[in-house]
Amino acid sequence: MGSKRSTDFFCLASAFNVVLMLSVALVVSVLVLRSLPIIHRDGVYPLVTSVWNPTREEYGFLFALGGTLVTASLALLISLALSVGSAVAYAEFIPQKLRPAVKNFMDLAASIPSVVYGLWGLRVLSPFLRSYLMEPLSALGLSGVLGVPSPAGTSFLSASVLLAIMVTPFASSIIRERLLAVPMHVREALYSLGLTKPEVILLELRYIRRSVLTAMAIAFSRAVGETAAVAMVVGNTINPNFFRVFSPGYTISSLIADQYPNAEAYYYMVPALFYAALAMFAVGFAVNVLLLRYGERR
Amino acid sequence: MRLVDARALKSLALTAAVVLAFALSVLPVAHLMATVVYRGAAAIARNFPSILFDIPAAPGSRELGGIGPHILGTALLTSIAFAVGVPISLLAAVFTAEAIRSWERIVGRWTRLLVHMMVEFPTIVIGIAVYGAMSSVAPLVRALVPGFRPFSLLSGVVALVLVSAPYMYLQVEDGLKSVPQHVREAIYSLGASRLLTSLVLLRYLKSTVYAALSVGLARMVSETAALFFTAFGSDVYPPLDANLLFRPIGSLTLAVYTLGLSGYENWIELSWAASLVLLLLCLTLFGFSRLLLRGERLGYRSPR
Repeated sequence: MGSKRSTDFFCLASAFNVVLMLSVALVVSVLVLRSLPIIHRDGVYPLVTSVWNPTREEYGFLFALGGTLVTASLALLISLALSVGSAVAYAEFIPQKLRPAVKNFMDLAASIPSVVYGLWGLRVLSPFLRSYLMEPLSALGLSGVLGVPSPAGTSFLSASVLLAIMVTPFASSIIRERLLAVPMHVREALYSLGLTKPEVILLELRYIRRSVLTAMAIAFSRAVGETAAVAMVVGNTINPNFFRVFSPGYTISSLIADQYPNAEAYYYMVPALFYAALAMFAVGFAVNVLLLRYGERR
Repeated sequence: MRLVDARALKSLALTAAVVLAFALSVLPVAHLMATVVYRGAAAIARNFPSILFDIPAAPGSRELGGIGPHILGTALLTSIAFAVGVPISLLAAVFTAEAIRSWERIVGRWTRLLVHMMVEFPTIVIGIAVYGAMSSVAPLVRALVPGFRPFSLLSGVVALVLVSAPYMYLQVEDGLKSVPQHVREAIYSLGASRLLTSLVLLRYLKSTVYAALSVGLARMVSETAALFFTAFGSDVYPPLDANLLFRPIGSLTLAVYTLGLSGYENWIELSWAASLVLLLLCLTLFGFSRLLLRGERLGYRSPR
């Protein structure tokens, strides 16, 4: 098909491929170049300290890095239970007639703007979690370990629960598809051993464990990068004790979102925010590389 | 007998856990939609129809005002970004899928790999990178446009293109890859050039292409994080003059964020109203893409 033909008009379309490739390169190189000033000045210091003091041009964002990892990990744990559970419910218990409706609902849930989740999280979920989960547990004397809830209920925990609600439809859809694709002879072999339904389900889940891992890894990297919703419910307070999940704090994405309006007023704040973005990018990228290496082939 | 009972009990417990998990993953989203519809409709009804045109009232006042500038901003941002992003992603996808010569294949492979990476970039990273690039070139641009700031409609458009083009590209490219080879050869056998063949193939995949575009549009409409550093947000109408592209502009998503976090009752009400508008837009685009893909399943698949 014309491998000897001279250059045709079609080749001009390659210009758009170049545009896409250059924009990826641009994003990565801008992140690195713009954070160079603070890397030159402070090295890895910002990654391992929790002092955020713009007036003295000190920017250590360990508190936000920790907040990101804590909220994303907690969200992952909650979402693992919810998405595996709902995928199993879909494959085993939902009647055929209802399946299209449930499927459409879950897909629709995944397409609602994250900032709308944020508003609901701020006005509905956070106060709810505060009254029915955080305050009772604090009253039992756990506030020493888990932190003191804020009046609005905004906290690492609220952010994690909200993130879990947001990523579950997506993670669950991957697990659901794989669960339905378990070969019939495998299923029949399991039932022929006289196993009960839950025992079969557990073995089926083991059979697709790579897909579950993949779904969870993608969910984790989305949770790390999610911004608008998290910035609305995490409380946006500098909190070095990021493991006290009842207390408000920062994640990297919410730090960037919260600080951008005044970043240009300081000399090193813009580079510091770029450095923070680079760190977050590195976490997400590492997860994706691991996924490419150990995840299922898609 | 007791052994059987233990297994039956375990079975029951697992069933209950699974049903509980299902309920916990569906009910919050249902509650969210109900709340947005209820509170958003209440806010819109309070000041209809001027809520769609007014600017927000003073914070804490009894007036509601409206979200007019934000609707206009979202319309401007998404329509320009769509007009720029669609040709880029469609043509790049066509080139990748129809590459024949070795250099073309190499370009295609690299584009695919890099775009796959970019799809998983957090959008705030894309936003901050566009801001970084824009502020680097700002001194040069100011020579031409004195008032230029990195916070502008133009930056917002660039950010939205970078956020949504990868999705459209990957979906269209996947669609082109799934076209049976005999269809492609039939078109070539009529003596069509490669450019013409690609256009015919895009028509052949009409429903996939439109579905990809509506997903891309939905991503633009619902994007927030990439706009913080770029479009920046604004609660007033921009003057409609030659410098429109170079001034900050609001959007519905930025309105939900800033008004929702403000702590003033009337602004929070506006935030619910903006959420409802966003939800309806996304619902429409979602329904549209679903309808198209339903048609596709009956449509182009070859009988083999």
